[in-house]
Amino acid sequence: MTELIQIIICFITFSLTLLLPLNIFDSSNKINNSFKLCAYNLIINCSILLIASLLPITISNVTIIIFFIYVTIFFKNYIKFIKENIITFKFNLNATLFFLVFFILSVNMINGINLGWDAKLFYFQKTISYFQNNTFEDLKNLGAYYYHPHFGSYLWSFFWKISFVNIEHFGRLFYLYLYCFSLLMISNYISEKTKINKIIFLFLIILSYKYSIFSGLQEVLIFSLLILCSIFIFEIENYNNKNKFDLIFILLTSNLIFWIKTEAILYVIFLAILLNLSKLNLNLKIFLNIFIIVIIALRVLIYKHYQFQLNGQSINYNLEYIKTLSPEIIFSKIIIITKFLIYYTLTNYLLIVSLLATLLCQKKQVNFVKIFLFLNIIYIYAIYILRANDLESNIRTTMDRVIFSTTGFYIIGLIIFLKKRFLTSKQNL
Amino acid sequence: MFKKILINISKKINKSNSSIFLIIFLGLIIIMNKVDFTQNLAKIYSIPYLERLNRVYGFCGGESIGYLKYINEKYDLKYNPIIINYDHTPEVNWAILNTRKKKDDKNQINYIILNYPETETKDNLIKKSLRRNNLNNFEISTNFFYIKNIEIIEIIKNKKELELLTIEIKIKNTTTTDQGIKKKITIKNNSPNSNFVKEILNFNYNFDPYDKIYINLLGKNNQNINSDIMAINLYLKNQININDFNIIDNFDNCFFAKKK
Repeated sequence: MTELIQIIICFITFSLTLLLPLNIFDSSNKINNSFKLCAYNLIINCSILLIASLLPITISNVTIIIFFIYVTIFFKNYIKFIKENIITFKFNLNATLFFLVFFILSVNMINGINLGWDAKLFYFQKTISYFQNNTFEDLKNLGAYYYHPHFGSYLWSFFWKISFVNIEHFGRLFYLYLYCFSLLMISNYISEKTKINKIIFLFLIILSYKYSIFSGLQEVLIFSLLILCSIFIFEIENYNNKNKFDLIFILLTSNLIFWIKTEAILYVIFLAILLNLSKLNLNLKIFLNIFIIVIIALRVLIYKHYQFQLNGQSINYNLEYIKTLSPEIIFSKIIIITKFLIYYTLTNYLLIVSLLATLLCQKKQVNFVKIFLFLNIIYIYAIYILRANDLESNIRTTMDRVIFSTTGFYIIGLIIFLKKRFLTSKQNL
Repeated sequence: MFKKILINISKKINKSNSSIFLIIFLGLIIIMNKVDFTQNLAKIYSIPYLERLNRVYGFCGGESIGYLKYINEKYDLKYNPIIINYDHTPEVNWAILNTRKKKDDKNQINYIILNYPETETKDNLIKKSLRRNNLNNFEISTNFFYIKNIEIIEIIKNKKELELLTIEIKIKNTTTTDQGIKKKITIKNNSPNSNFVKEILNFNYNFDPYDKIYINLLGKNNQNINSDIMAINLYLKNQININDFNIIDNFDNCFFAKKK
């Protein structure tokens, strides 16, 4: 029973990451879209936590500082709203649905318990280290796989720390919260006025949810953050960058993605390519490229400062092996990769639906999704061709996750397709 | 308060959009069905966390997280113990990892040995039966851990008169593209009038858990005679001998022990 009550408490606590520091109901705010403001808040908060994770401050201290600051800001921002709405009780279908879906899936997650193989090997030990009040520098003591990016583990640890029940899965619930929020946000992108978006939200959940993606593996974080990036890029691409915040928040999100998984650097580069091809003006393009170089350089400097191993994958990817690749080997590898790529694509229903909708959508608006797909296919072939390990066993254990990570980015294609089909009036489009 | 909430909800669900609400409700039911919501809810409500943990990871078997938690709670360990698990599982040290404590590398006192295999003789040998694969080779189908060498091979022939001359051993790591090693060993004791051949090999190799052992039997003119073989057993020397430890706690094949 305590665990069930804790789910509700978690939902309320996690919601603070969407509600603060920007007031999402403030009518004086330039951005008149509460979902977008929630996303901005989320990215700001995650960026604050990322900085905290790199500083020599224990997580207990970070928790106390953030708790007091946020409770103060919350009452300052929302006291008026609370007074009005507690008395009149305005029923909000989006919030209700968000909570119900989160609760149903949380129950599944909490009963599941089992952590994924890589989660136990790479990420959970980092979570424990942070939870036990060690800092970034101490990650080095964790053994062979310490060099894997730590930010997902830090989030896990942070929200575990602030839960009242001392069980790790309450920290992991934040992954679920982020996943639900990103799907709710993109489904509301059809139009906030229609109720079809609620059905789309449930449809996306039905197509994509399975316990294993929440077993401590980091792909779901990239999946969710790429959904947010796809919305921001769509806005930049189609509304002629009226809102420069979108660019800033794509860059901040890219930075978060970059600290979640080693290979995520390539997704960051894909996003940079898309933005360079977008309608952004030259100054902004220069700014974004400098930003990308700076975040990469910062990571190198931080790793050097703490004497972390930068190229942890040198056994899997090395020049000696690449030199041995003959055209015959490459061809045979391509055949195996293609076979599995088709298989894993067909078993990812959300990807199939999103890709079909994107390809059927004639609008130029979704061209950036097609470019991302093209880059991603090249990337998938490249990582498996260049990898020195046994190809088939490697693909069997990783490819479904590699494909799932980027699935989030294609959902925007489905949403634009549905928007075109269901809402034909100019006002709604 | 609740009356007010219900009135508000019913206002929202008016005639015009009741069908949408019905679809949303159905969607929630589908999700609940997909994730076995009621079953999960009942389990969380009725089974305590630690018991659920034991059910998922096993108490002594597989990852044996239950045993690790039990030892950690019962004994106040000054160091993180060295954990040796004979089963093929992911990392298990997370279950009792205390990053504030040192690892017991230097003193090497506390050991938790999980799923210690049954040994056949006092020589601490682990028996592994080989299976025939699609290519008519014999191979060890399971991963094996903490092995020093291949001590003895037992071969059961279909025909007594079959002449066995050479054993070809191939060891290949499944995680790399490396071709592995191949070694041919001449059989000394051919037992010409028996179906049963037992040969002492003493084949030393630095085994990795992801190594696979393949065996081919060769007769005259190096001809492969695997199809005339009924079964092959290998006796592998265990790196760890439980008799070298003082056992503090034991449950089935799981031990908490200190080195003598």
